[in-house]
Amino acid sequence: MATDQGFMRRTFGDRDDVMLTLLDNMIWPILGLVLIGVLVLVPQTFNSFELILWGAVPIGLLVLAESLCLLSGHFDLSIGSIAGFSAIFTGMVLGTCPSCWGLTTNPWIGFGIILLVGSLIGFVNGVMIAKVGLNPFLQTLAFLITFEGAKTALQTQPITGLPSLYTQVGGTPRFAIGFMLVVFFVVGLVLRYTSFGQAVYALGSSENSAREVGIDTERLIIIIYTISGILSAVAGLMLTGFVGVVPPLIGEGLVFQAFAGAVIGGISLFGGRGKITGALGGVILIQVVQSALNNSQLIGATQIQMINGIVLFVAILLYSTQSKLRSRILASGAV
Amino acid sequence: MRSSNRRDVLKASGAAITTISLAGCSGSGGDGGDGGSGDDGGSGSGTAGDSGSGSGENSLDRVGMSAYVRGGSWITAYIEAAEFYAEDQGIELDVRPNQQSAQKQVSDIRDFANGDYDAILVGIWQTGAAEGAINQAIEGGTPVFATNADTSSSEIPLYVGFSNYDGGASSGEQMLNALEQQYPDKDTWRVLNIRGPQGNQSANQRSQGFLDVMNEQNRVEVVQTINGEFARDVAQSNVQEFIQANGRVDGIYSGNLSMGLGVVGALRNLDLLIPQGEDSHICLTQMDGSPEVNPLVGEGMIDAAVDQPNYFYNTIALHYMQEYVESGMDDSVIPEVGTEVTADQLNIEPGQHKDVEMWSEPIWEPGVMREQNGHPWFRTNSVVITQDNFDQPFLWGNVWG
Repeated sequence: MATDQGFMRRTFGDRDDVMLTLLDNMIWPILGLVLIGVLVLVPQTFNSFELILWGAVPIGLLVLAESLCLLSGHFDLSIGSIAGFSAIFTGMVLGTCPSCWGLTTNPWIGFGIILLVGSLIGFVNGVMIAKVGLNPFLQTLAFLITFEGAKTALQTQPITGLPSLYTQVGGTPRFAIGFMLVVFFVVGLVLRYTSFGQAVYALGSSENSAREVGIDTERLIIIIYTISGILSAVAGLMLTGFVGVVPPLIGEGLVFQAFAGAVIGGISLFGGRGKITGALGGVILIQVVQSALNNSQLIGATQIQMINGIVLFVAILLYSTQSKLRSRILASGAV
Repeated sequence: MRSSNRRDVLKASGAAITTISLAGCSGSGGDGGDGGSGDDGGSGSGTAGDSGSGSGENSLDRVGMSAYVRGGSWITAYIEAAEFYAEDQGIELDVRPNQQSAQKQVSDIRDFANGDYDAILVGIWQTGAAEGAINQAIEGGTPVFATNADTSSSEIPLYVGFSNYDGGASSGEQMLNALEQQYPDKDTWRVLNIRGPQGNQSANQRSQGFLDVMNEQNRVEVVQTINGEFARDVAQSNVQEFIQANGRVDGIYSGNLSMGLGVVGALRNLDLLIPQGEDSHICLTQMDGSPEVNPLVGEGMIDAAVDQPNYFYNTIALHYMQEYVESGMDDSVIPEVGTEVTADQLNIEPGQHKDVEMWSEPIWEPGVMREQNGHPWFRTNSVVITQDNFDQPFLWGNVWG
């Protein structure tokens, strides 16, 4: 009898582990189902899979930036503005258009400037939130507005004449896709296997607890927002390369897509839970669905936004169900 | 406790998103003449003060203008031309950005109406939103003229702008010409339609005008309508994915210049950007020229662009506004609905600006007086940019480069 009970416990315990693992990686079976559906209904979509991934690079980097903030229990509404402002500012330095500053044509200086601008804005975000105590939502909202306006103040026309190496980074599909995957891989490894990563999750789960176990939460928040700013700036660089110029409204409207990608990928809006690989899955899912809708003869252009909204809604429903199931499994395990 | 606070923040997000919109960061909701993104113009609005409180009796000395100021070279030309003309005429023009917000626009209109302004010039951000404020301003004695994007108010003396529907139809006719020249022996031409955001009035009209012309032709198959959101990157991404997935098409129409440039980028990435006359050229037509578009027309990459006389919109409006105010608000100074206006009847005095003799070529003519929303509409003509005229100085894209 005792042996039977041990067997059952082991069996059910293993089943719970499997269920929890499945729930934590729910994006992949969902993505698998969606891919099968697309393969059946709009098979020609896969002819352009490389282009789909290329188009996903800028938004993918923004999803990564947002995911990092969300995992730590924070928000960053300014990522799209940081991407856009960094790109415009650097474009003004490098560009040869009549209204550009044209200070240098060295692309390496351009790479340095765009990263510096993004990191500085992210750093200030972090300092204001961690040291001054501003609400993350309001602080990043203020910067969203400020830097969207700053773009217009700097330039209202497309910036052209950028050095070719500067645009090739985002303009070479395989390099851009590979770069995005490497960045996801590195950030995923850092979050999973380093003390920094564990601290991010701890901060997202409970800031007080994180502080009590010796984590310098203020410093950590500043680092997280600085990294978010750098990733946003890289997204701006990739977007510049994708288009070949810097359009005046670059980066606008991307923050909500970034939130959607992170949520669909299973990153918790309440912090402390989610995987970076899941966020990557969310990005791919969004781009594949978007491309399939564009390719479908059955779906009109005026219906696409509505369907995108439904996809997001279903993802949120699944996420909500996942949370409840997870809580139930953990509660039953505790008993 | 922490979790609870975060939930509070999430609940506050709705209010915050509203705040974003109010602050002009949503980038949506406008239905201005040229949409609201990319390199194109959008719409603006403004209000003017009580004419009785203006600088002079029956004279146009100070005009308030609320305009969409973001979005690229198109809108820059639209606004700067107004400033140049006002300067030439000795009119003080106060331009205020509408920040992509109908509420901001209404607020500015009321502010102008209560201030020391003789008249108001507006480019409407949302067709119906400013109607009340405009009517109030007019009732208070301050005339309001609209340009580029129309108001639903029937009280305004004049709206100046081209027809988005006609522009789309003209692009369709240019597409047929290009296809006939490029592929005279093909039984069926496969064409893509790249449109702007759903719900945007300009986007709908431009798309419909094009589709109506296409649908009249048995030889045309519109294989897909793709939403390019009036944005270069979106159009580029969607078009290159579509062509890679479904094969090449014979022609692509884009509803604004940003999307047109996105299409060019997509074809370039797919090694399909080939000049007209050569094998496998994909015929491209679009709305609007620009500093980037015009040279591409010259190279034969883009077959035709239907351009707006945007630097005439506010100029024509200010011309009639001046006559209207100086005549004591006499409606008879506005040409009658149903008539045609030529350069013989409307003389815009050229001025030296940006190294050209601006307004010297009346590319707006003939203007046709129509009625829209219960008020007169000065419908300007459009210019078709081809290899024959792509480098002419009367094209705004060659001036505001």
